[in-house]
Amino acid sequence: MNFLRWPGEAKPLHWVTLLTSAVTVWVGAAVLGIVVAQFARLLSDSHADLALMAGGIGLVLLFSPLYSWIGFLIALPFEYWLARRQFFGWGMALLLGTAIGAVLTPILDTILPLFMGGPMLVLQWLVIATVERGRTRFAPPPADSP
Amino acid sequence: MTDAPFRPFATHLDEAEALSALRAALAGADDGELFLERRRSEAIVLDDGRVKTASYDACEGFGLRAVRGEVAGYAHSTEISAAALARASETARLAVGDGGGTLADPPTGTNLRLYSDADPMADAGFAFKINLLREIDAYARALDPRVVQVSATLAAGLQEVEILRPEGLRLTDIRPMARLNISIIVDHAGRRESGGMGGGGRFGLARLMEPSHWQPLAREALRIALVNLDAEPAPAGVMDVVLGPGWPGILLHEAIGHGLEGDFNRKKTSAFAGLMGQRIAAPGVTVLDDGTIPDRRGSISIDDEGTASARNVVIEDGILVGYMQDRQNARLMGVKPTGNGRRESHAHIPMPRMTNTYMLGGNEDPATILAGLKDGIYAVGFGGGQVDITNGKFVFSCTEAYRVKNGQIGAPVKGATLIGDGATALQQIRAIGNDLALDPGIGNCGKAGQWVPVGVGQPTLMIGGLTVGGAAA
Repeated sequence: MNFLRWPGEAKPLHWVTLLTSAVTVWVGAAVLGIVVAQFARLLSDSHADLALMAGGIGLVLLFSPLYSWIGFLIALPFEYWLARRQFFGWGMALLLGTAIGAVLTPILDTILPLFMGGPMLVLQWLVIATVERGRTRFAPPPADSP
Repeated sequence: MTDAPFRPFATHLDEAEALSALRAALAGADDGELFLERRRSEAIVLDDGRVKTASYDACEGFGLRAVRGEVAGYAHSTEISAAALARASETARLAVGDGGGTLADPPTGTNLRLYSDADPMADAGFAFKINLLREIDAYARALDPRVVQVSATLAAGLQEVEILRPEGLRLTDIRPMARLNISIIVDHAGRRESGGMGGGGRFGLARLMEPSHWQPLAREALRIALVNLDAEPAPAGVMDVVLGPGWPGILLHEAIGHGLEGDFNRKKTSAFAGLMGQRIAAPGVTVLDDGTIPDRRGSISIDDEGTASARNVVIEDGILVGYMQDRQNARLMGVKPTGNGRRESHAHIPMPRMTNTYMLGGNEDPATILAGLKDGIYAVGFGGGQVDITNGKFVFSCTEAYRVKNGQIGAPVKGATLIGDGATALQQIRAIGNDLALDPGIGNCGKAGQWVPVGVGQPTLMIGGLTVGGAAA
């Protein structure tokens, strides 16, 4: 996996793939939140401290879609622009997510976007990379090439 | 950049110095080479009677690769100089680490030349090419009053390759490429449809500029457009499909061919991994990858690692008998390279890629195959497609297809997509025609960000139980 460079092709990264991956992570975070919360419940008797921490993370993840859509919406055009130029590696996703999180932190009046922005976009990048991995294509040559 | 032959060791580098830098990079490595390239190409696109694009590109550079085990270090530059080579040597060297490798045997060269080394762009002057495209435009418009738009593309290029091996071996290949495409849009009663046809290969433009070549292309493009004018929405569902000969071989290329490339099998990400010697296709199915067909778009005298191209049988009578290999994957899998190590340019690392991939013909008369199709689709033309190698699932869009019921070809259908997975489709081949044909020479294959010219081919085939995606209820 590449820090800077997009591992796949530049042009074929379709906006539908980008949008679908964003929706997957956006909704997936809530699903993960439910799983983590259930896990916390199971731990509550044996490991109370761990359960409290997991429960908190679960709640944050569960309700994150209420706010994270703003971040994804801002990120999408930047991601599209970067991917077209083959500069959407996981490192760029982390930087972009952190930057957007930093912008949203004072607006939403919570520190969470700063910490969650980067990982969210890295997760989205992983979804895209998984879908694109091993994909091959066949097409007529572009007009300007023999 | 001049038009003089590409002689990097006479004009840019001292061979002894270059060899020394290469050997420094490859000390303790398993393999590697210095790949030098000059590429020139031009394209003229006439759209609606006007020159839309007229481009000329020229570039040169080198790529230095050092391979140790599964790791490959690669450094490339558009500046061919001793200083750039020294920097590249240090970078590529990083992959070798502490070394300890044994340098693989050099590729066996070949004196075979599968195509001319003449510059295809020099076959005619710029004005002549423009006039030819205008002539095509006028000819196509005169064919039918419903023609409202004509687009014609004339493109040619020359890639000159020189490979220096650490043993001091030098291998060269000069690869011409030419292509002519014609696209026509027709309008009737407010409905617009398009049709396109093209052809090309590793030869000069002169062959493509003959009226006896381009006039049939224009007529065929018009025929496809007119067929689509009458097309109905494609049906949806699982049904039997008959594929026409030639260009529909792109399905074979994508759905099966990529799954038989060495890298995907070594990493076990192919649906065909670990099935060597086993039946993976219906009896009678024999698939080859052949880079040695003269003048074909996918042919190469030597691959981009210096290995002579070959006629490789990958599936024989339904049994998996071989993979397509570059040098690194061949070594790691303990087999011989097959001449399939290809790269898009000097800026790209080589990997196993197809050349001309096709299925051998069978015994059945194509008309009999169609007559045996009770309820399905007859797909003749495809626009392109893609496959996910990990599960072999493919999606292809048809540009010309017909509904068939009780063996009778019915109305053309529009917007049909064929969906399936390569492994299942191979087992579901129910009939193989005796009309093997190769494509007209307009295919490009994309893998891991690299596009290379390829050829495909097949006879008429009937495949059972493919999913057809369409808009009809």
